[in-house]
Amino acid sequence: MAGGQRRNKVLRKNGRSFLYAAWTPYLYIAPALALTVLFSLVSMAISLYVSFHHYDAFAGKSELIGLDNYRRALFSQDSYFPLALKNTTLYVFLSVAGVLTLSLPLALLCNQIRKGQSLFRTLYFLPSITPGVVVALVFFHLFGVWGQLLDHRSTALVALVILGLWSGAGYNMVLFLAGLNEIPGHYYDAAKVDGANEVQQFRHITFPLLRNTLVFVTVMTVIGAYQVFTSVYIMSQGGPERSTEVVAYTIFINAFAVAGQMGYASALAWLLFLAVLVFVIVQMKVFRSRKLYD
Amino acid sequence: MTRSGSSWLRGLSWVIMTVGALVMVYPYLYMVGASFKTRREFSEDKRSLVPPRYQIQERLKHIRGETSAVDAPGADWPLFKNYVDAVRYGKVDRFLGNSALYACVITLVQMFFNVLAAYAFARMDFKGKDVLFGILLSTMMLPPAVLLIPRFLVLSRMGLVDTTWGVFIPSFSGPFGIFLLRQFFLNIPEDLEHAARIDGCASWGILWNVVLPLSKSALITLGLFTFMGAWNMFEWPLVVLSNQDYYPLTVGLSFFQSETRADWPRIFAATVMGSAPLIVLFLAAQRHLVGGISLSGMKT
Amino acid sequence: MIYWTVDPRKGYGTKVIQRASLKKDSHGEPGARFCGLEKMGNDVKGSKKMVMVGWAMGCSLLFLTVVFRAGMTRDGMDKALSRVAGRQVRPIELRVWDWWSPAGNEEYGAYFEEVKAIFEERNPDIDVVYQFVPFGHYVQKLSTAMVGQRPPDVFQSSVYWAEGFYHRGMLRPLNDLLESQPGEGPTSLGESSFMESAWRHNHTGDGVVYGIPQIIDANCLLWNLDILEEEARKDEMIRDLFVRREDGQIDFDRIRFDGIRDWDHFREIVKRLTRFDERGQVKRAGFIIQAYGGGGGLFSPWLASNGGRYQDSEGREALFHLTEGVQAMTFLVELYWEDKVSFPFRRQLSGTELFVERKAACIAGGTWSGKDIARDTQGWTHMGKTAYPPGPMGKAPSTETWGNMLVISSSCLRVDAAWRYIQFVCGKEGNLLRSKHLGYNGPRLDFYETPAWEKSKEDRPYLSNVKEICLSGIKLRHTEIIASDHQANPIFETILLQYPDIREKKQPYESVRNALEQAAGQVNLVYSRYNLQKDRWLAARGETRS
Repeated sequence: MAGGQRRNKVLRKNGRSFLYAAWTPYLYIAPALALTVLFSLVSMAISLYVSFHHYDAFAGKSELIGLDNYRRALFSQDSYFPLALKNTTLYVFLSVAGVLTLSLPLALLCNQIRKGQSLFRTLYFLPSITPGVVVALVFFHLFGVWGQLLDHRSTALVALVILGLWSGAGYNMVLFLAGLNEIPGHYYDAAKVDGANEVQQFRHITFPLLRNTLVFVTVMTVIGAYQVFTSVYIMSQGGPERSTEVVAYTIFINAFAVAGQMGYASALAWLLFLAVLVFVIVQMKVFRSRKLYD
Repeated sequence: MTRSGSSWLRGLSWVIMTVGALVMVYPYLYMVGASFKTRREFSEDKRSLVPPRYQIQERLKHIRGETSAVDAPGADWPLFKNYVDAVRYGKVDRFLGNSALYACVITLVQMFFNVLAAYAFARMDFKGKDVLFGILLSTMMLPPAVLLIPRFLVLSRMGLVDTTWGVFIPSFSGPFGIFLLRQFFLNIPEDLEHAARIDGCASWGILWNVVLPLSKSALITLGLFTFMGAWNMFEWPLVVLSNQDYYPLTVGLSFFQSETRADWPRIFAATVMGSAPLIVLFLAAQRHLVGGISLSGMKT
Repeated sequence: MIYWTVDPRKGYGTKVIQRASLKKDSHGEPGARFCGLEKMGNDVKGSKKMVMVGWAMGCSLLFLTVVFRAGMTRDGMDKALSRVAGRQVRPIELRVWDWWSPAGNEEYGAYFEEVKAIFEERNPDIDVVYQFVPFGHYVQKLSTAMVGQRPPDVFQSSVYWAEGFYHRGMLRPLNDLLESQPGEGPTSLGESSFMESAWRHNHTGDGVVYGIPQIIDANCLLWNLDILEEEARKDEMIRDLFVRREDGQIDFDRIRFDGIRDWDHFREIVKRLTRFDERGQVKRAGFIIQAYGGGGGLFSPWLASNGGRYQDSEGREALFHLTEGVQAMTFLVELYWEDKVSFPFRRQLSGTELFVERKAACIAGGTWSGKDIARDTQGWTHMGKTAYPPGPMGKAPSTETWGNMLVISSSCLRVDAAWRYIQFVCGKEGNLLRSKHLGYNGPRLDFYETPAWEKSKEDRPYLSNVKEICLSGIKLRHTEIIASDHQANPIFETILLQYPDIREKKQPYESVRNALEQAAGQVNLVYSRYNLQKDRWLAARGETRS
């Protein structure tokens, strides 16, 4: 049974005898890589290219206009981009604040419970698996029933934040729970021996050791919140009085509802990408992830 | 973990968690309740969970001979009529079928490609491996909003706009899945593969007979997440499809809503039908899903 | 060959079980497909396997039935079946696009079925294939389809877009086809066959015709005659709104077309129709004013009835900020904030719903809103329609009208088939079909002489003023609607929502006029961008003037 005689040659000799042809790995990664390169990297390049042109889908002819689209987005009087960016950033801040004040305490509390924990995890996770359209349609009416949140400029964005928090609370809570599970129990035992109460345990053990999870959740929340679209599309369409006009919605309207503005929309998309990129780079510099124990 | 917290804390936790759970579940109850109302009932009474004609106090009023919702015109509306109408006129069955088709095909194909690529990155050595993996990883960070327009342009060049292939093809790429699976494969001890090698197995054989059976939980988790992500797709089909016959349920629902004088109970019936499969799937497989979050490798 | 595997339930590497191979087996059993199963006894393994197989089959069966309903599989199966059935394949496939979707409204389904049946019977060589595309995305989807694989041959175009389509070169001019067909008769499609107000949006200033109107729509005021009748018994002013028959009796089913003299009269009437409850909240609205998402559509009919216009005919400048517009907008905000004739602004508010529930006496509706109200209320049709009363600068009741049209795409290769379809649908017969299924009155002049129309007016008295309303209107705004609405509607919203602040604190705008001027400035930017683009397109096609 000592192996068949194979045509494939042994490739490397680091104590491993892998039997495959030199081209096999490339075959294995080819489909995934090709698709990803085409639809992510090449697409980004195309998007950049289009953003320097005036592009109309039917008339087809696109004219190079250089940075005009960007200039229009940032400085023109009829551009919604500055307002949209402001709205979106506000939404992001509120979402992060909401997640931290909601999902983290929920996870801590859920952790205290032994028996019902998995039931609660399930129930809280339900909103995350429901299509965003469904959630938006239901809340469109619920917000009307509970008051007038969607009617006023000052509260419409808050309503969207509430919707986002409701959807994501369970998912984030589960993430935090997983992070909590990784903290070794003996730390807490040691702390109790030293006479620390719950609050001190939290401050000195839980919070520092949750750092990685916190960073992860924050980053994911920010990246997701910058692209909020479905709830705006279904519930408020940018209103009232443009208070919920977010960047992803402006991009969509300009690219796919109005004809002839695809170049402009691509420029908007790139500006959004730069904004998110700046944030992520800042985050990586500030929160360099470190091994925090042993 | 504070396993044995003080009991007041545990009691408080129970209370708060229960309240929160009700908050989480309430919109679903609302949705189901609204789907059984008649149009008139819904426009008059948006607040109640139970349709007025079924409420106990209305029945009591009716028995006592007072005016009640039980006597209102249309109170003999059959219970499931909204569901039947949603299928018959709203063509919800077609939307559901489309969602199911897209979700399945996308999941199967994406998983297949991801498994191949993850195994190659995890176990094989080849020139440029790190570079290529880095490229793959970097694409995970690209926001979908930026990719929407160029993907659309690429597909229109390929002539696939407004076809089901157009919906499938960009969704076949899943770098996140590759990343996850690679993490998982790296954690499988190599001795088993060595043993299989000794017996003369080629890579495909190892993959199929050794590695995959061991990764069942990760595969199921990833498969479920992919399935749910594909079911809930909204922006991309909205952009690429124009023929209503090919819409998945998410897009179909959004267009019901924009009709003038939308029939909300019927829309809610459609939403119930659209989210029920996922909920059933979720409840059946929650062990994998919820546990799988911890697999998602937050060790950056 | 024998493969090693591991029972994952026990943890990696701690327990190794020999598993039978798939091809050949040392024990002679077929290979188990599930890890760890062989740990159980053979009998347990067998029954558990049956259960799993049963589940798998059940799920896949359920699943397949669902997938079979999917669009793709259905179309594929239809094609295969028709080939198998040996059905006569019609040589010409005519692709028709529309936004009237059967999925949204059952009657559209019935209408299209009958149109297709009659047309295909008379034209056995043509197979009509419909595709329904939602209104909000029609422009973009159409643009990409025209450069893609399957462009439509004929499609319905809203007046919002037709001009833009023509300038881009997406529409085939129809003048040659018009010249080659009879001048009179039920299938003639020339200008003389149609109402003047329907023949406005479908041609350029130079006379190039690019579409044939298939409907005529007008904004109009809808009155709930149940409420009016009840009030009329006590109130002389309201009683005068109804038509008086020759014998002097009041016809409570018909409202006079010219019953409302002017805006002050309108204000008085709706104030009298408004009812308040004990807490001073509106219980029944005299006239519903909506702030959210309505914008231009709410404001421009009043502008028209005041002698103003939204834009100039060339689409180069906005005109709604002139005095006529300021008066119209001020009239509306004062109706809401001072006279309080409407329910408070709510996003989820639906004027039509309130109208049907007898909570609103008058709403802004359209000449098309008859049949769906009748359908939703299981047959209640006691309503009346009038145009908008003239304002201080207006002369007669007026409104805005438009006629959505059928057009032939410039990439159409089967022009003859397309024209035959248009002749049927836009001819007298098509008009009658739309009236029958959808309750729409037609744009053709001969439609109003048909006995079917007279009968409709008898059966549905709310149609009695529709022809006059359609004749009285001006041309609806038509240039770059989506983009200009995107700019102007939020400002209109602000005016309506923040009027008290505007009036007192001059925030966020100094005055209604100032706000309208700003909106007009934004819209002018949209227009100028569009006109630049239009000139480029025309130059590229070798034409110089619009």
